[in-house]
Amino acid sequence: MVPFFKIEHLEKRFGGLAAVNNVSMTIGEGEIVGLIGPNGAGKTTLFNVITGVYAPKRGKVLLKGQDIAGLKPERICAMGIGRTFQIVKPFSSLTVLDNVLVAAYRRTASRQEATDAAMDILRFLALDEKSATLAAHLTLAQKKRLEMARALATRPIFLLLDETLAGLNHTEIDRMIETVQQVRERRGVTILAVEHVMRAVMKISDRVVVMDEGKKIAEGPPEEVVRKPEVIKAYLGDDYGSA
Amino acid sequence: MTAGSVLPAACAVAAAALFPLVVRDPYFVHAAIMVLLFAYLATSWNILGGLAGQHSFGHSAFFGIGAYVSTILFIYYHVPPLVGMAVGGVVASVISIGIGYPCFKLKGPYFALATLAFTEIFRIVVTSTEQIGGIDLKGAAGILIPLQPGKSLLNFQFSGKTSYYYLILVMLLAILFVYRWMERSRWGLYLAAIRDNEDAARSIGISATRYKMIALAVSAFFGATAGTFYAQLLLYIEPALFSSAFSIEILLIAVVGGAGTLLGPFLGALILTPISELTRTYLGGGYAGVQLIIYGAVLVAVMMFAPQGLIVPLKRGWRLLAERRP
Repeated sequence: MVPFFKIEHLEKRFGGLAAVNNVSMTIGEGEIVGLIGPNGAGKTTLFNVITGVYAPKRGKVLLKGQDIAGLKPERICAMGIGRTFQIVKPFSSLTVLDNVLVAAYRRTASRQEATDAAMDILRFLALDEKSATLAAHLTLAQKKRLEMARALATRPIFLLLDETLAGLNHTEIDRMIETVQQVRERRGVTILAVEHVMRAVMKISDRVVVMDEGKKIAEGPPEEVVRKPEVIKAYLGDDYGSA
Repeated sequence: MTAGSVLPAACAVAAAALFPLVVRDPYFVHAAIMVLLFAYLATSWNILGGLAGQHSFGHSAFFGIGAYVSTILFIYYHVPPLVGMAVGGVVASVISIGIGYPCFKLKGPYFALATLAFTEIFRIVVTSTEQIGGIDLKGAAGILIPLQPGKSLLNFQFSGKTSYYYLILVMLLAILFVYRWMERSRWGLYLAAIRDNEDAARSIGISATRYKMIALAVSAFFGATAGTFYAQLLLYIEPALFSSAFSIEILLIAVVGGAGTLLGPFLGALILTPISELTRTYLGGGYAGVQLIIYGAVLVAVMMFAPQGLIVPLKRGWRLLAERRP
């Protein structure tokens, strides 16, 4: 059977630095996979290669068996991959509704249908009351939700979340965790999430992939992975790894 | 258009329509024509610069192309300038795609510099070309457009200035309508997304290059039609039409008035064009250069006190006034 999503021996270099170094992984349909690793491990670069911001030096990115490596971001979106950005990138001069509407237009040319779909998603993310507000005026937590709303409006089958929880407070994190779980349950979206908040990673992930210095160093169920010595070493340094 | 803006808009159009009936001095009518022409040009720039956020420093290229294409067609092939205007627009659109393809690979100041360079290429080529394939371009000397015996819209020649005034007024209303229509359409939303954040726009499936090209082609089309109008108004064209100084004047009018707003470019033309016309007339002889100082001072003041364009404080004032009314 063709796996839902698979990357094979992916490599991306910036000059002499291998930001992504021979990374392979497989993700099944409907899975939520957490991607963790210290800063500079290459997580965001991996996202950027998958979503077409960068072309890989070598390797394959297979969505349902089709190699999408090196396609332009807009093509990859059309193939069904959506993403959010670590540093939020709202369309600041547009209203919340228009931010989502412009994404919904990628699936239908009808203004009525696109507006309905956008409002639907805004309700799902509890942003409907803010629909007429300019995106620039939202709080960070709301902007993070808007990122997700916009990505969902393109109707992805596979969603990449880049640190959706960073900068949020306790209550906001709980709410976002619930939202991510609902995205899978109600919309059947497969998710790959870069996340630093370990509590969230443990809770939502079926499986965790750990990266360090461009390489995949561990993979498995969350409780097992965080106990592996190489993972502890990557996060805390040699002294703790050997202790 | 909201209910609150219909009345002022109707008043403005009525006032503009009555202007030449009240003011009969041909000098002032000419100045008014120049204001409307620059408003038209800056609005055409605004389609790319405002809606799509791509600040071109080379808009005069399209203006010059429009002027030369319609003039050459008129003199050598007897194509009426009204038809030549449309042809010039299409030619400019096609050329703009050739320019846009490499330039859109660049962003921000690099894009601006590349467009500036392209325009300079046009200016230098036209300045130094005397003849091409049996057509006299006359290089730096420029081309005089012969007067036609029959004054008509098709020939784009009229006996008085007033006809030119009404023609450019109608053209301006038309382009404002096109701008508003684009802004409110699906395309306008795509362009706004690209302007606000190109990476995010592409991540939701918007082909940034494609939509920027469309905006550029539309912008170039209208820029070229302004060139034909100008050629027929003065009945003389020269390579200076392609000058980068002229490009920058167009850009400044839009930015000073308010880029990305419907009426910003018009407001900018209303303020800056009379300043440059009047100072040139009254100070041009003995005090050449003083006009540039005044022009520069106005720019500095605007950038300091209304960096989003003068339309922003004006709108705020208007809203306050409207709220105070019972």
